[in-house]
Amino acid sequence: MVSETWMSTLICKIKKIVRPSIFFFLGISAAFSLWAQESRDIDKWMDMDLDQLSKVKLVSVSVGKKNVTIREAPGIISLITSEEIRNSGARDLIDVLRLVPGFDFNVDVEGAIGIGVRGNWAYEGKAMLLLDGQEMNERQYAIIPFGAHFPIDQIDRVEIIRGPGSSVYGEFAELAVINIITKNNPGSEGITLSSTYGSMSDTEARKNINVMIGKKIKDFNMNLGVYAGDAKRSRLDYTDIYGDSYSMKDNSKIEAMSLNLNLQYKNLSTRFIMDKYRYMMRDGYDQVYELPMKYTFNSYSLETKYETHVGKAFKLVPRINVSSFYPWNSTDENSQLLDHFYKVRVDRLKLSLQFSGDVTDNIFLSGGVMQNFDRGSILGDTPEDSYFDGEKRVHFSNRAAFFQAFVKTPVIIITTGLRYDHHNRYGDSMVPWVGLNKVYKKFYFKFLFGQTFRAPNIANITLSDSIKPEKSTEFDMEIGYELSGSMIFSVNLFSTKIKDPIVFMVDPETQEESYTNFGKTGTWGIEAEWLCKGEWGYINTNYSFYRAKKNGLDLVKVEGNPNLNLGSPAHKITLNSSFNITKKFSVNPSLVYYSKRFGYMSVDENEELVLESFKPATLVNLFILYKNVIKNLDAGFGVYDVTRENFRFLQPYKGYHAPLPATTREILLNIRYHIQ
Amino acid sequence: MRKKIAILFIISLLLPVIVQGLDVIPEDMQAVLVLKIISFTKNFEKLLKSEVTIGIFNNDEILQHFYTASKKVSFKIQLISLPDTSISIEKINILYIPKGTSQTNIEALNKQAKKFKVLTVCGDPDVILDRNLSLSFYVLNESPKILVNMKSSKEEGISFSGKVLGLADVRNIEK
Repeated sequence: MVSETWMSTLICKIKKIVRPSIFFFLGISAAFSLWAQESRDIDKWMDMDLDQLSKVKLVSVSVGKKNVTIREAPGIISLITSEEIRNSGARDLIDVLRLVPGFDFNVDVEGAIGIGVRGNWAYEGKAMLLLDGQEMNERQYAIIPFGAHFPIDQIDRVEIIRGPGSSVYGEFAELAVINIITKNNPGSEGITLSSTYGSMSDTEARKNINVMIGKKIKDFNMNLGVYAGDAKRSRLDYTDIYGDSYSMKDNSKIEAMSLNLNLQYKNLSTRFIMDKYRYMMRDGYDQVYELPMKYTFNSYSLETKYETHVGKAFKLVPRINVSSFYPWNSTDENSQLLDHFYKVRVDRLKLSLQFSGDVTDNIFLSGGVMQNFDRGSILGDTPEDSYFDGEKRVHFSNRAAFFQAFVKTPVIIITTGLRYDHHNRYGDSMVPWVGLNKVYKKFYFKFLFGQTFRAPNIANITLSDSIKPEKSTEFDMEIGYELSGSMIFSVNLFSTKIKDPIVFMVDPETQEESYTNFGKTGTWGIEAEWLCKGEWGYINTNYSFYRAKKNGLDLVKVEGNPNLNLGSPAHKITLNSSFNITKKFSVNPSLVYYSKRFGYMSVDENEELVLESFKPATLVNLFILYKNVIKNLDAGFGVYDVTRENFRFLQPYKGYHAPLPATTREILLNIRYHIQ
Repeated sequence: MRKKIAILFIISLLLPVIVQGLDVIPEDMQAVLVLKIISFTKNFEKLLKSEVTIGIFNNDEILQHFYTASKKVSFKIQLISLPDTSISIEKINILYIPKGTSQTNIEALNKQAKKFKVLTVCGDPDVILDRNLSLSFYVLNESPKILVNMKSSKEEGISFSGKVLGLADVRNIEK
């Protein structure tokens, strides 16, 4: 007791010193920016001759707000362009992200598909998705429901950080950040119409329509993207662990609609994103429901920001974000009959000020301060519908500061970052990290080490009063080699150790949900990528492998095989390729191979779960694209799951949910018309 | 199936490679490249001793990049902002057309450029062949690549040096 008091006092004193120090440090940095001179990139390039200029490595991703090459970026990064997405015929974000090393998809409960990263289940608050800079994780459980959700025809590129992003993005960027940049941004002009129709053997698989409009009038830019579509999760039967089943053909409809409007006048811009998503399901938690019911995940986000320059090198961006999320809302008639009525709304007001810029040719700083105000409202009127203490409303706030420095020394590039968060409920979190990069002739080398955290979401806090953020220690090392001017090979080694993970539990008897910080988990592994591009097209292929850490959670481990986590294959190989047959006509095969997976699909006579081994699966896809069939009209035709693997999403923890069937072989037609 | 995947993987590793990509390079880099290329273009030899006039169509940000870059060259540069296509480009030597310019505007500008022998540079490499413009740039292996449309440059009376053509991806070569 004495030592605890002594310790608490010491921690308090450290916090008192550290907290103002961070803000002071940020203040000094911002002030320092006033002394900074104009950007030196142009000056530097003007000192080069044409030969040297043609060898300058250009930007592909942003670090803080600095654009650097992937080789120099202090992170393990994947970049998927609109060209690759379009050529592959990807139907939704699942098809796109499956091509990323270490990324995978699994089922949670009640028809919800989530993401796994490097063998870790990242569904609930462990991976962050940004759409044109706006956070799309819903706020109640911090999940991103996947499956025919986001309009991929509107995507310009997807930047993916495979690893921690907490020091910049905070909250849910523990294991990965998926940053989607759409074409609904200044620079895109004209009107684009596109539509996709997909069919499985005996039923329609999907249909959608997409419109993008971009117009620039002097200093004013307007960009609008509108999308509406529906799809079916599968045409197969779902069978629960007790042997009851139902046909998903008529019980798994997904409906999505979105609007993304950006208005920009000079340096002032406003973006509004409406994302409406609804799906039907009957699979429930463990036993199939008697009736199909619908879940909706609607959100409305508004962002206004102003970019201003201090000198010419430093940029300051004050920003206001207002958003309302309606996650997991089930209000239809069947939900009431099944006693699953749920109506909730979570609002957020976020104020932030970020800065970024070059201090010298070789030092780039970025950072910011932000304050969030969250309000959760239970809109249902039954007595059970309430947060803790029977409250219908809860209020939380979080303030944060982050700082990142990118220093290019003659020997090595050093990137270091620090983020501090203070939440009114669960207190302080601080995550430092450091990255070292070296580019030497055709080789590059990256070493990253740091901490990352996952903030508890509203459900975590309200269901479990004593919940704390979970913390991860992350280690990455990557070596890349440019085999020729157009071929790059890279291999990286990673290790993720999650301490006190926030674990979700459902009592199968009472359906009561709870959360707790419990034990530790994590993985280590290897990922290798080979990229090659030519006049003939391109080939991107990668291999990923993981092993579960020793002493991990039994809840996620495969019984009798402690090296593996449930639902996640140890080996994954992907191929994404495009072959130009003529200037207009290309053939685009893609492939995803999963090694053996483990999961539960039944119970024995004692109602104990029976572990099953699922044979390796290979999803082979082929898409043929014909550009300018007639002027400005492109048409594509493809087949997904050519070999009819009948893939199933497995539950990546011991949660009594059987594997959920995915789409089977699907024939796909896509047309796109663009008017300048 | 495993064997098939392994074979596919090995075959793909052995495929030959010649690069082509049409990702747009940053505009500040484009400004630098244009000014560098001028020095290697025979048509501008005389102008370099007096003044080169560059017109930028309807984009102040790119104009600013040209302005910053122009401070580092040894010859005089006059930069003109062209807010719309009604303005004559007769006295301009180089016309920069930003990415996103409408087809109608490109056509109107190009008509004048061909008439007054003005070098057309376009921020969007995807359109220079279709719209018959002369010069653009794209990203190749994370580095800038010059793209030259010989047909258009010939119509504009522009003769790039061997140095530029040696580094460039040259299209529409007329024999």
